Amino acid sequence: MSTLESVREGYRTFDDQRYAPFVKGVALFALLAALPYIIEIDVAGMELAATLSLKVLILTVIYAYTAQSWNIMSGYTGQFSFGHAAFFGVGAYATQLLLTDVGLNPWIGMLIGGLLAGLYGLVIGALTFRFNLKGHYFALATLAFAELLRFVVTNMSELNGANGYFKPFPRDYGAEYGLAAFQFQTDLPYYYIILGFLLVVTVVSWAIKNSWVGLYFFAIREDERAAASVGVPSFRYKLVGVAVSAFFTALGGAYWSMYFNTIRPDTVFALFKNVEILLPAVVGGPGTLIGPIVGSFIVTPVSEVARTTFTDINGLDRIIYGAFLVAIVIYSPRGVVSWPSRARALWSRLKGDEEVSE
Amino acid sequence: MLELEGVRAGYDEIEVLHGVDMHVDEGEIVALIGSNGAGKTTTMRTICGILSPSHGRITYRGEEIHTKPSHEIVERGIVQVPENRDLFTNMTVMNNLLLGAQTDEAIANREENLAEMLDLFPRLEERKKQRAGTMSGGEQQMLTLARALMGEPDLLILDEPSIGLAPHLVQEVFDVVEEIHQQGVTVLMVEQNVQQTLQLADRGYVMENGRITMSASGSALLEDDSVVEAYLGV
Repeated sequence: MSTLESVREGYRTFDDQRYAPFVKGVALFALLAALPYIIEIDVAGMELAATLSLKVLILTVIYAYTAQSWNIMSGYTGQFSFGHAAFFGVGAYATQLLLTDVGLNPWIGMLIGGLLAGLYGLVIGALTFRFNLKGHYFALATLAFAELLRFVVTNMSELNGANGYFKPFPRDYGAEYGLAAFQFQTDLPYYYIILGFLLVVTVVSWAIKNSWVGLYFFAIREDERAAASVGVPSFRYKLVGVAVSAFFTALGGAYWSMYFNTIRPDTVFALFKNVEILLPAVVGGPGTLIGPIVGSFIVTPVSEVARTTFTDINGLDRIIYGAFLVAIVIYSPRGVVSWPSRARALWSRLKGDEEVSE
Repeated sequence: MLELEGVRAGYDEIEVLHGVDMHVDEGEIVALIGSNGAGKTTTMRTICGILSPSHGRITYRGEEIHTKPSHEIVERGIVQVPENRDLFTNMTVMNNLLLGAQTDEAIANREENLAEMLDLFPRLEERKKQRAGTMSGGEQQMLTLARALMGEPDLLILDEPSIGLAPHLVQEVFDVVEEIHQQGVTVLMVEQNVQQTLQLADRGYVMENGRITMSASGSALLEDDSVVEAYLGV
């Protein structure tokens, strides 16, 4: 049967095409791995590192990572979360609490934090999806769940209230500086660890996008009622999305707690943390694989450099975040990564070509 | 095969169906006709679990299904083609078709069914990598039918499959429905093209104001004076 063969052939070319992004991905991550050395190159007596320091790079990759995690839920299934700080904070607090009070290795504490965040995600999902909250109402509900945790933690003396935790030294939990202790005396190893995190979540995202789960996610994002009427169990798949997303976001929080010395409710559960997590994905292109990474490299360095340069203007970084958010939502809701194809379309229109891609 | 007993349903406070009794037997084509607002689409949605009835019961092969969510009803072999087509317009034709397969069996036979659909609807073969929303209305309707068939339905529920189509496409849709029926699929359809529908159908129900007011064979309804007067515009 010839059509059947052509379908199989189609499946095979589909498989081949799947591996084309692999080459691009390797190139991208090679570039990211080389960045700490690139910023130290001396160009006309000026090092890039003078303004774009390794610290800023680390922060940029952290937010690329959390945006990639946010994307799995909000970019793929279309359930826009404004409360991912909840998961971020749970990861940070679980890791530090287990480390300080129990002496549990942060690598294990981090996974427990991830599972707890996933569980919290399931609770939020079960409550909101059951009552079919959508759009703005859903976003506000997720924000409420995040703020709820901030208030609870701030007022719980068992969790040191507003003071939070101070990261112990490695010897306090029987370890030496190094990979096993998740603590280093220089920034460079920290950079490669968060880059490794980003690699893992990007590969997971890619696998989801190319699986049946991804097809269901996108069907739900496209038209949830239609998805239900063809028989996609949308409630279940939305829960899968929120749980996976929460798990990875929590690992980001755990990393944050190990890289910075202290965590407090008003840093890891901060209202603004919600924006910092989602903005790179929204700017870069929600639902795309590269969008969160590109977006973070646009948003984070600009706001960080502005914040540290113009120290007398309080809150400049937030103004910049706000400006990005407004501009991108109005002018390019599909994000920066849609610009090349839009430019090509514009170019071919200018040339007067009949053929317009997309 | 499918039985509705005293089904009352509606939207929030507004009751649309005031006690509907009807049944569909294995291997039949059953038509549901009636004027706008009579409750035909509401009936379809209630069967498919998108709405749940406040009273009465719906059984499928002896099992109550009106308490089940829609994806579980699909798993039992009832697939609906909704009136507004409900395609995923930003996804490719291929992905739309793949999404039609939801039961374990349908997923197992996905490749074969896909090949069969592309044979049955050659236009879709040409356009399989195109986004569904870029196709014409007729092509979209064919895609909706093909997607429903990917689910290997035992009972196919069609809500106005020919709505908004040019006359020659209307005929094509009816031809496809007949072919699907000949392959052993039971069909329940709502249609505005009363004449063509009743010619094709084994039995028909007339619905008015949320109640079934008449039930007879397709040909008998075609000859009934009140039906002719009300729906055939003579």
